[in-house]
Amino acid sequence: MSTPADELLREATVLVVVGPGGVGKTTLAAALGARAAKEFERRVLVVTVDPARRLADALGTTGQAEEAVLVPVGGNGRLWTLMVDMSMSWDRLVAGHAPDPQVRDDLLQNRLYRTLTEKFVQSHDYIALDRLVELADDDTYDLVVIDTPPSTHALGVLDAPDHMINFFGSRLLTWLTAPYRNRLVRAAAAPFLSVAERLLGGAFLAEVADFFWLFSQLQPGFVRRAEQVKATLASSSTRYIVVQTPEKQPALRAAQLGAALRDRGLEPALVVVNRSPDPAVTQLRIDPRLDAIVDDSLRTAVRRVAADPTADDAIDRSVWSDVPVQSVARRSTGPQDVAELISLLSVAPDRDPLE
Amino acid sequence: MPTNGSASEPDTSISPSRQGGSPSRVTLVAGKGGVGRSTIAAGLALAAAANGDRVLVIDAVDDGGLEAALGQRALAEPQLECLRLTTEDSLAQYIDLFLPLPISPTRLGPVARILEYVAAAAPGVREILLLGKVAWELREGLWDHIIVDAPATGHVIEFLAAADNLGELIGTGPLATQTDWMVELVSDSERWRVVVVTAAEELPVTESLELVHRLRTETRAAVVGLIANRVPSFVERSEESDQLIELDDGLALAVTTALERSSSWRQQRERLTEIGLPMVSIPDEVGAGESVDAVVEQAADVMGWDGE
Repeated sequence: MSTPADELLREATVLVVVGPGGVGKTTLAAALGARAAKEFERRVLVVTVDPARRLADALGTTGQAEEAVLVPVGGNGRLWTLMVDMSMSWDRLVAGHAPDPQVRDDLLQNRLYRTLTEKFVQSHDYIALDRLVELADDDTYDLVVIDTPPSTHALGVLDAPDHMINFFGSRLLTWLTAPYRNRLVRAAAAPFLSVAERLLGGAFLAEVADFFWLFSQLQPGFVRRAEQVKATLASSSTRYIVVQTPEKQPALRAAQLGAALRDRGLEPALVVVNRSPDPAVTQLRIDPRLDAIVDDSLRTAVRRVAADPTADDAIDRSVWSDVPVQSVARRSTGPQDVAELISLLSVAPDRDPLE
Repeated sequence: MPTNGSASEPDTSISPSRQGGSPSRVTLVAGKGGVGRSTIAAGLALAAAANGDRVLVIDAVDDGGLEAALGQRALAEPQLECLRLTTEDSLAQYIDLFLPLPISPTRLGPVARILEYVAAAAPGVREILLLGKVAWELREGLWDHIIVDAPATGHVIEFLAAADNLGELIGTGPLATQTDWMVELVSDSERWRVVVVTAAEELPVTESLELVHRLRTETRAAVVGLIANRVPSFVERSEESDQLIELDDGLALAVTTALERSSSWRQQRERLTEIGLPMVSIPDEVGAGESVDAVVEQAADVMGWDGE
């Protein structure tokens, strides 16, 4: 029986995997890619950001960054994985868009630049998508699955290109870089600079101003690039898969993400409910044998296990309407190899009782 | 429900002086994301308010989780106020409170936005803004308890360490005299308590133990206790459970899972008790995830914790 994921894996050219943190997005992105290669003989690239160690081991990609690595899956399909390194990607962008070597070197050595690109979550959001532009057009692959980093806010990833564009267009950047340009503007910026100076200290502020001045030099190239990223995200060949777990909070976050996608005219193609409990267990909720357990504490504990939320509990149909749902079974250990990864998605979904 | 900014303009009808008893205190609710920190903070706040105390509960995470956890119940507690602090709010209030500048906080929009960028890069900026706000509320003495749904693990340390960096940051300029009281307040460990929330599984417990260790060695705040959230009930292996497992069906799987969860928690509880802190367990019961009632019931205990 064909699952909703299989339909996507057969046809799609770009799959963007989004979802709240801690729901197993990276594992699922790898599982989707592996299945597309193995079952549908496609040439697949899975792009991940900082994958968990065990998953990297299962894929055999430990230690490799910024290089597509071929993962053997058997059959006629091909699977590559690419681990994006944040710092290296940013450095390459900077090198590509800097107007001259001086600006490039100064920026690469700026302390604030280093901290921002390594630690700042929003910079992760952007860089993950930046890679899409070239990879989506690369003939080596006929499917690119991109795993997005967990973002602080649901919209973080989707809005990253806009943030980048707005950042360059902001008056603030003009203010911050004013002292470098002329004395007249410097007077206008004085109130801001004096607030910031009291708050942050003079030396730090100088470094901040330095950073923004250097960064503003990159504007034309960066803005053009961010526009391309936006276009790729909005393209009809880019499909979105939302991953969540059955618990209340992740379900709520995922629903917000779904709404955010729709706000941007993007229809989620699939919701995956990862780590769903075994239906045989949750069906016990209405099993009379449960009440027959004599030991009070055992009965209470078993009842609690049976009450673990399921995919059906987690999916609010008023939010998701007719988006297909696929549940992935909870396992006691993570996938150890590619075969296990592929098997994650191989079980046919339960019949949806709402239909 | 009262939200942004309302607490900074206190209702003058509330007596500005404390009515005796112990001085007002700050309780930071710390723990990793996903352990149910907001629910615990809401439960503590509701329990304290029900006890007749005046409570300010601050959402420093800014994801709305705290307000959601408080729900309708907060409306029934006139002594309870909830404040959601974004970086922008914190900055506006900080400038309002500490910097005598002819600049309206409402005009700070773009400044605050850039601060979102800078705050992420400059360790401690966000924390100092929050600390300033909390310290100010503490000084005003309008509240018996200030409960903070604190940011994620590492940030709590930065938040508390910000107290020590404060003097350094402000230096000896005209601001120094103005902020002396603040440095003094945040150094008073008797008024800053931390409650660490942990989930019942191995990895969260390990992280919580590390957090307690760091809090004890790197900050002056008193770690007063632990709250273990979503704790499975204890089950003993018995003849009955053995028989059920032999069925080899859904019931057998559920019994096995229940036994596994129980024995795992037994091990983790052992590790948690070793550090010698008072501990409260919030049971993981059917439907308990939907409400803070279970937390409120046990929370009165926690609010009375005094620390070492």
